[in-house]
Amino acid sequence: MENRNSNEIAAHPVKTPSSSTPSRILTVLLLLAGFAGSANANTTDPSDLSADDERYQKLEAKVDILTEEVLLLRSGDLSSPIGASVSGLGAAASRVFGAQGLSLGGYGEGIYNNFRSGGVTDQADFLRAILYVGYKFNSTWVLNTEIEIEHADEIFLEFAALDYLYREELNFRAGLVLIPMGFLNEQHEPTSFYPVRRTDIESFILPSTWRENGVGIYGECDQFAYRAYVVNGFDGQNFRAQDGLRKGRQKGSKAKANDLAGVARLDYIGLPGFLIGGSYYVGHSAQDVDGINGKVSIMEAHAEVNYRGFRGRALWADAEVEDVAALATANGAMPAVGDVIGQNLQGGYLEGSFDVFSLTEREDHLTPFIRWESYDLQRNTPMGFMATGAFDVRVTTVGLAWQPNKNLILKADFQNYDSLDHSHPNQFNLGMGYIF
Amino acid sequence: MRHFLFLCLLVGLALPALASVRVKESKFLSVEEALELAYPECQFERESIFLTEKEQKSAEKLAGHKLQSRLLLRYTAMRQKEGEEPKLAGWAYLDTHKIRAKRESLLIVVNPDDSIRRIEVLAFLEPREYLPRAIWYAQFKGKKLNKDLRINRDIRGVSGATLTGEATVIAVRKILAAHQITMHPKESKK
Repeated sequence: MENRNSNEIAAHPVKTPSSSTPSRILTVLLLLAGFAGSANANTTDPSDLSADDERYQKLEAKVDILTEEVLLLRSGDLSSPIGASVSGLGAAASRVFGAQGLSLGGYGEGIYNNFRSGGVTDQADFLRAILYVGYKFNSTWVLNTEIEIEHADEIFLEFAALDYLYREELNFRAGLVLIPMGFLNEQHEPTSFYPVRRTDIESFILPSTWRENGVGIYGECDQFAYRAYVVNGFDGQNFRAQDGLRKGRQKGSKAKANDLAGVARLDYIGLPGFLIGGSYYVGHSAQDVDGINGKVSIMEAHAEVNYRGFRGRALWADAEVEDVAALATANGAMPAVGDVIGQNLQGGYLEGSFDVFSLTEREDHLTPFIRWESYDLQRNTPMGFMATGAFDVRVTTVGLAWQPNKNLILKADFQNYDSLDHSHPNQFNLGMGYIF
Repeated sequence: MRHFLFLCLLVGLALPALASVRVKESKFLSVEEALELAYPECQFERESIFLTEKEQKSAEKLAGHKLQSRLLLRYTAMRQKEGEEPKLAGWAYLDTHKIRAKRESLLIVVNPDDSIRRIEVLAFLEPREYLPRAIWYAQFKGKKLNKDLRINRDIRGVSGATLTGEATVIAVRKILAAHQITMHPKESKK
């Protein structure tokens, strides 16, 4: 082994000091150490070899100390990162999770929708600009928040969860939490999905970004990860056929909490690049409507495969809603016969993508993708109401995403809509997104 | 009925997870613990390595990424059997880098054949959601510095922790490049 530029600390086996020319860094460190002004330097006889040796050793010691300081500054998260002796190793004290303090981040996405029908106005929308703010109080208490500006003029608290980190298998969470269902509700940053728009299924049946106030637990056990929360339920009076369950979200704002709900998710995470799991939600949604409960139950299964540049995703969701007619007509409302949500909503999608630049040396990513989804928001309608066919839809999305790096994404795609009543226009979409 | 069956399936899947629970601390290892795990019963020498500008440029060319610093921290592990000369067991480098807004510190352990022996996370200041599982870091075992040492080639991406994955691969490439430049300067010139 070549021996070069070494700076041993005394506690370690001694190596031969390097005689190579010090780098500019070393020079700076020497200057910082006050070499030029040190008393020793001024009083040493240059012709005295032993004095030179002594001075040289002192300088090396100073360089070591300053190097240590630089490394400590760089690795300030380790309580004794580099200075402790490592010969005769013993069991060290447990390391804290990390340093305390504030963390900032964010993401945003802007989209342009060009509808292939004269009757629908095209739209350019800066959909989301989000500031992520986190604060780590100590090794066990962590706060994560997302503050969102939506459509450039609406402000939301997207989530605000206080975590107590107990151990890998069991941690606690309270606050405004993201419902752990599907792919996009928890991981909805624009770089996490290639098409410009989120899937319709994860907008209407799993209404991302779906967040409610609640408490829960999460953790990992060997090859499995889980999350389980109790949250306030939907407000079922707001369910409408064209939005699926979306309008029933209470989003943490003065949420009606007469009816609570439970949600749990389990994922197998034992193989890198592979994920399979499912989640289940159940709870009442009538809130303050007497005589009905408006029970909502949703089951969802998902799988993802990543292999080299390929990514495949599949998701299936099925929701059942009770007392649909009573919820729709509560408080004297008289919805149109075709405007009532189905008693059963069901859908699934398949998505495949391949980063063609993964075959080259390039650092950027060019990813063509295709997504096919099929869903029905009125699969089963109550007596007296009818399905219009407008919400029984097949969508094929084909497009291209380019990422100059993993923080940025530019997207373009075409969506072919096919509903039973042929009412949905096809659309061309452009999008940009960033995370930091 | 469908929902009941699905719930039964989910609970059924949860049972093996519960059975596999082993109570363990979720704290990160210290440098000393990580070194001992990588090289049991070894003695360690710690070196501060100052790269020259020329070495820095060569390492950057090899890694394909800019080096933020010319200062490296390297541990050399030596194993000595009774009555024998100490033998080189390998090296380990401490590297700290930013992921999104906060840093992670890794101990990148290198075999005598310059391949990765293991990677240990010593500190991770981003939210835990962005920390890949240990099995993801295990992918690096045996990997050497070449064009395939990158995400979507020999290293699979990690859902929900894309930036951590990218930052880790870049850190490993930089360390292996600096290692090669300092340990095999003649080969690197070829």
